Amino acid sequence: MKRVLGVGIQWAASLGLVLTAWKWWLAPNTPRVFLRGPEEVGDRLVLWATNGQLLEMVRPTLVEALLGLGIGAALGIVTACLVTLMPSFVGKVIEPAVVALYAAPKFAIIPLIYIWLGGGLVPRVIFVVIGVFAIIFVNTVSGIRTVDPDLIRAVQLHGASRRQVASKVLIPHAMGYVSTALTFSASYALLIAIAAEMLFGTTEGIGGTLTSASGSFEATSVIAAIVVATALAALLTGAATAFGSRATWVEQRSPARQSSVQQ
Amino acid sequence: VSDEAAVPRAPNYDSAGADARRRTTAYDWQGLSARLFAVATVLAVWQWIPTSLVPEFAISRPVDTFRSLWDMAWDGTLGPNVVASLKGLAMGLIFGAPLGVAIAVLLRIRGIGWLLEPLVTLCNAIPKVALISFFVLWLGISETSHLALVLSFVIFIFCYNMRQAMDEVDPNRLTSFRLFGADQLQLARLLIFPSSIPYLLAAVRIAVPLAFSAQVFAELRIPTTYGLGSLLGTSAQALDGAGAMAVMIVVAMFGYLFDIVIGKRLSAYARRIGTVGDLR
Repeated sequence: MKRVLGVGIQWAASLGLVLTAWKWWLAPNTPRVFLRGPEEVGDRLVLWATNGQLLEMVRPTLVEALLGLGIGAALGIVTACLVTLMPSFVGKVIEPAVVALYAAPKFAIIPLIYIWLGGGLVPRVIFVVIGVFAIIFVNTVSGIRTVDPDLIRAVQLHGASRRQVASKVLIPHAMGYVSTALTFSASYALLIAIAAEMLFGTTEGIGGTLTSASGSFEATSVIAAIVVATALAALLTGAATAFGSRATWVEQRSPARQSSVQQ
Repeated sequence: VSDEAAVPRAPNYDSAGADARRRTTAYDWQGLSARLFAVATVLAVWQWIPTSLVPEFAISRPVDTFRSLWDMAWDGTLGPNVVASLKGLAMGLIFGAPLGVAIAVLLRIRGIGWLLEPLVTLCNAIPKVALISFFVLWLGISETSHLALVLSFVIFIFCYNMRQAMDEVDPNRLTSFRLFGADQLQLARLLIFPSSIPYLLAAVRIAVPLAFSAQVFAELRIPTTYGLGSLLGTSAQALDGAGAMAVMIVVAMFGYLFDIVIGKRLSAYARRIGTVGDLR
């Protein structure tokens, strides 16, 4: 309780400092085109919240991020399992392709998707899926690959079947990697959803709001939209962290926990 | 404690392919043929995919794309654009790395750290791409806007890695340095800076691909005269599928190159000078 209070005071002091500097030093000394006072941004946020614009703005972005996260994570985990558990021609074909996709700047394919499918909700979700898929795939693969082979051999010596090796050793070990990647991907999915909205030239979502606001030189709306995006990112990361700590319950029983906890 | 939840660590970037390569000593002919097969399949599908499925102006054909790439490379289109993008990336790292490290050190000072800590956490939580709209108001349609966006990515990576480095300095060594009477400056010069090098190398490993990605995004969003993203945007807008695909290939090649060169070489170097654990 005391600790919570301490953190609260720290945040209040920090935010108070920023808002004070912004209102009485930064805002009066900058042209009003560039920066307005915090109270105007607050008013804009209240206005958005009351006239329903906030909800309308957040909904498409959230749908893209969550759908992209769900589909991308599912595809990534399944593909990673396929690649690692059948170490054959399949894996050697798929893996370098996905690693290349992971390393390349993904924003470069947006113009291609745009020409091909337009700038609607579906192409944007597809883009988020691609981004999330690569991250989850790479992390799941390294989760499965870093299992201690001696541990597997030991379990097999004790008569474990393939299925038991998977359920008692491989999956619990890989879970730590997957949940870390999921936590990271939650805010990343939001980021690339906003980026996609900006590059697809739509007026929907947070990205669309940002584009039109900066196009018409409305500094207040730009800052307000950035505040909304940040709040949403914090919310998503918090939810993913909570989900991750629940999903890793298997991990606690695993002897492999020690080696994955560092991640 | 709450900061840990708000700031997720980047996932393990060390690709699994590197592990596999390290283990096998003989050359992996099967892997090579598999890759060649994959490339051949992709090229074949790309060349003969029916236009009813994917319009030709969208993805062009491999033959046209490579012809376009060849032309761009020799008629001087590609050169200045590549240079502009790489320059942006280099500037982002050159300015961003010291700034990030400086912020991490600043946060160590008791009072300042207490006051600024939430601010840094908050700024790191901002989806950075959104900031481009803000930068364009302030800095206009210019390379400076691109640089600002790249910096916003790079600074935090170096800040958090430097911070982790300072947190994880060997406590026994710290005690013995203090016992032998080292002052703060000596401590920083002889212990903290040397032991933070692996962490900073890890930061480079994470920052380079991310900064390149941010650079391309900024160029796509705010096209200037030169830059790979700008070139890509103009080609796509002119419905020049072959040109757009050619630029995309160049961008992907650079991304892959950075991954190989910086990832593998830097990891190997860090391992040689004795990193604790793996590079993230």
